[in-house]
Formats: sequence, C-alpha cells, structure tokens
Amino acid sequence: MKNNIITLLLVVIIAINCDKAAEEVIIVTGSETMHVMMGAVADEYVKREPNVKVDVRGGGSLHGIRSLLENKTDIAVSSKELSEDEFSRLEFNKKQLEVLVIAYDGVAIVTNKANPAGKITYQQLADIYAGKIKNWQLIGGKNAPIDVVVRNDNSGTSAFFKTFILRKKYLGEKEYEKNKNIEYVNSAKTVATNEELASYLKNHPNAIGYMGMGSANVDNNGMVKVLQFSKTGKDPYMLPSPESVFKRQYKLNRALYMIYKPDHGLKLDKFSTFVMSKDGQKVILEKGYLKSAMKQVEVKGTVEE
Amino acid sequence: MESLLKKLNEHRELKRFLDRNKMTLSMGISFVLQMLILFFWFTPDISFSKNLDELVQEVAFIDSLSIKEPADVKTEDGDFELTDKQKEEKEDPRAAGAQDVIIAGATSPIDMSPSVKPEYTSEAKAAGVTGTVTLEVIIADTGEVLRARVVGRQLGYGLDESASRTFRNKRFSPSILEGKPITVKVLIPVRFTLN
Repeated sequence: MKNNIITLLLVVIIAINCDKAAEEVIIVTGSETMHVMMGAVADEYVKREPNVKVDVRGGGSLHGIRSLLENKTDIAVSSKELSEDEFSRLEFNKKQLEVLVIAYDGVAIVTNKANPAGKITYQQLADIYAGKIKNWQLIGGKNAPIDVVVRNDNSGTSAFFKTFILRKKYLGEKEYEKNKNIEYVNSAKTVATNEELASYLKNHPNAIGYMGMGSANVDNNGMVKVLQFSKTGKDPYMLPSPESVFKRQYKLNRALYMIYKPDHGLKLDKFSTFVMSKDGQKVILEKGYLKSAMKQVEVKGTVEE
Repeated sequence: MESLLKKLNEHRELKRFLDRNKMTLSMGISFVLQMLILFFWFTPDISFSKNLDELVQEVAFIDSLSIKEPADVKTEDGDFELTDKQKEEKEDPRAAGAQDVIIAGATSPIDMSPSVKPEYTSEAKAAGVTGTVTLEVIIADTGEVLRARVVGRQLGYGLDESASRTFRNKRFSPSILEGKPITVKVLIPVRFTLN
C-alpha cells in the first residue's frame, strides 16, 4: 500500500514537471517606446510557438540594459544606442552580443489637443527644454507659460532627446562639445511612461512632451496633439509617420534596438528571426513604427520524390 | 600448547587492528617518507654571491637586445595558408564604419541581380526543411558586399551557407548620402518554402 502511494506521488510530480518543462519563457525588458510594439510582436509569435511564453516588461531602455547586465532578462529593448561603456560591459567578445535594429522611430513632439501651436523647429525645441523659451506665444501659441515634461532617467527617449536636442548633437560633434553640460530646465516635470505623459498632457493645456511616433499616433491616438517638426525652419514641416521617416522627410528619427546574447539557434535566436521576418516586421508597421528589414527574399523549392 | 594458542590470538588481534586502521597507517607512512625526502634529499642552494653577478650580466645583455622587424619582406603563407574561414574573418576595414541607411538619411541600396537567389539545397529539400533566415549584409560604397552573415536562428542543411554565399557575391547600387556613396549595413530576411 505504502509503495503504491509513493509510486503515485512520483508519477504526479513527474507529470507536473513535464508540463512545466514544455513551456519556454522569454523575458523582454526595457524601452517604454517599444513596450506595446513588442507585446504585439510577442502575441503573434506565441500563436506560432504555443509552447513559448514571451513576458514583455517596460521600465525604460536603461533599465532593460541594466537587466541584461544582471542576467535578469533574456532580451533588452532600447530606443537609444548602446554607449561604449555599456557595450564593453555587456559583451565578452565581439561574437557574444547581437545588437539588431528592429525598427525606426520618428520622435513625436506632443502637446494638449487644444494647443493652438502647430509647428516647431529644432532650435525652438532645444530652447524650450533648456528654459530659454518660456512662453507659447513665442512659437505661435497663446500667451501662456510652457509646462515642460520629460521622461525619467531610465528612458532611452529622454537620453536621445537630451543628447541630440538639448545638447545639440544634431548639429554635430563640435556643437555637442560646447553644450554637453546643459541640463533640462529646473521646472520640468518627470513622468515614467508614455501613458503617464499622455494623461498629463490631457490635464495640462500648456504642457509639452515627447514620445515615439507609434505611442503618439497609435497607442495614444486622439489623446495628444503632434506638432509638425522642421530641422531648420526652412525645410518642410513634417509630422512623424513610418512613411515620412522612410522618405527621410521627418528629421528627428532614431533606431530601435533589440540586444541579446545569441543562443545558437535556440529560443532567443528563433524569436529574433521572427521579429526580423516579414510577419514580425508587419506587426511593427501596424504599431506605428517603420520596419527595419529590407524586402523579404522568397526562395521556393520543390519537394524531391 | 597454551602459549602457542596465546601467540595465535595475539597475531589475530594484531591482524584485526591492522585491517581496521589500514588507511590511517598508509597515510602516516607516506607522510613520514615525504618528510624524510624533503629534509634529507632536497636542500635549496642559498648562496648568492657568485650567481648574482652572473645574473646581473645576463639581464644587462637581454636589455641590450633589440628585435628589429624585417623591412619589405612579404610573408608567404606556404604550408600555413589561411583557410577560407580565416580569410573571411580578415574583414575589409570599411565594414567597421558601416552606417545605418535611414539614420544617415542616405538612399537605400538596390540589388542589381534580384533574380539571383540562394540555392535550395538538395539535403534541405529531401528533409523537407523550410523557414526564414535573417542576413546582416554590409554593402560597400562601391556596391560590393563586404559581409553577409546569418543572425538569429540557422536552418541547417546548407541553407544558411547558401544564403550568405549568394549575397556575398551580389552587387548593389550603393547608398548615396549628399551625393557621395557610403558603406551601409542592412538586414534582409530570406524565406525558404517548398511546394
């Protein structure tokens, strides 16, 4: 009797573990810009691989990179390029890290829906965020103080904005060297996510912020107003979209990255191949970002008898 | 008779003692032997007087040596010719400076031979293997391909090599930025399907 009970318990334990072992988990952590997009890609992937669970977490690009360093995530997604220091800390040698551009983004400058200001140039944006332009009237809006909103320190978008807009790396290395100590205006409010930003903009008519074009045009469609952007004021003012980024018309663009250590064709490599495939890239387009892969090459063969 | 029995008993007791403590006795004997060897057979020479002068002279001689690189000598691989894989790893330096097409604002490169596609290997067909590989392709400012490698999952059965080899031999019209051709990196998915 005792032996039968033990045997039964063993069978139950083995059965439970077999079921658990069948399900693989992939953890993706990082960019809030890429959060919803990666969630959608993951949903498509698990339809094809029902034994895989993809757990997509936000927290910001820098949080994703830190998590990868600490082996707390399988994949880091980042809306900013890896710095030299981050790169050297992450890779042991050049063959041990894959950094793939999986999409492109045009950073959208967003305001409350009722804001009458419609356009902004690169210089105006830099001056607003440095606290040099303080009133909407100076850029075609009403007479009201500009309520500046930034993302927190974990944000890749914030890092990109600070480097390329505030510190003027957009104008070249010399300009960046002159301005590299400039910080956001003291009065800037800080938010953690794009949802928080959209909510703040809705309730604060004089606020201005920035987010990925997918966040602005798809996830928060109808909740925020997107300003037209011109680099110099003399080139055309454009709204960010996959088309305007593809045609190189929208100038405030950046790459979106997926960073991981290849696992020799196992779960991570399989997932990354899906992200870069026609089906994966289609999801990226549907979420409002520009796909990065070139047109898929089709090779057809005939089954040999 | 009694004394004989007594002796036999003592012998048995000794044997039992030895059997029970075999390991300990062996280790003890080994330790004693090692100590004997250490103290009586090996004694380092601690006299420096004559050797130090010779050592100083030797160091001075080595310091004065200078190794000169041979000038204008072409190295020949001879019996140690690089394998194809090693030659591939000696990459064109332009590859390191490859730019991103969209971020640079350059035009997209165009495949000059779009009808040239990777071979579907007979092993893959026989095994019924299908799927997609992603190629990372670096296209030089001259239009030649500097690198074509599979990133992500590999399909095996020669398909990955077929894809990378085909693209390695392609020519593209290069990306143009502000009127000048540049070296760029692109990602190209290649899907193999069987009818």
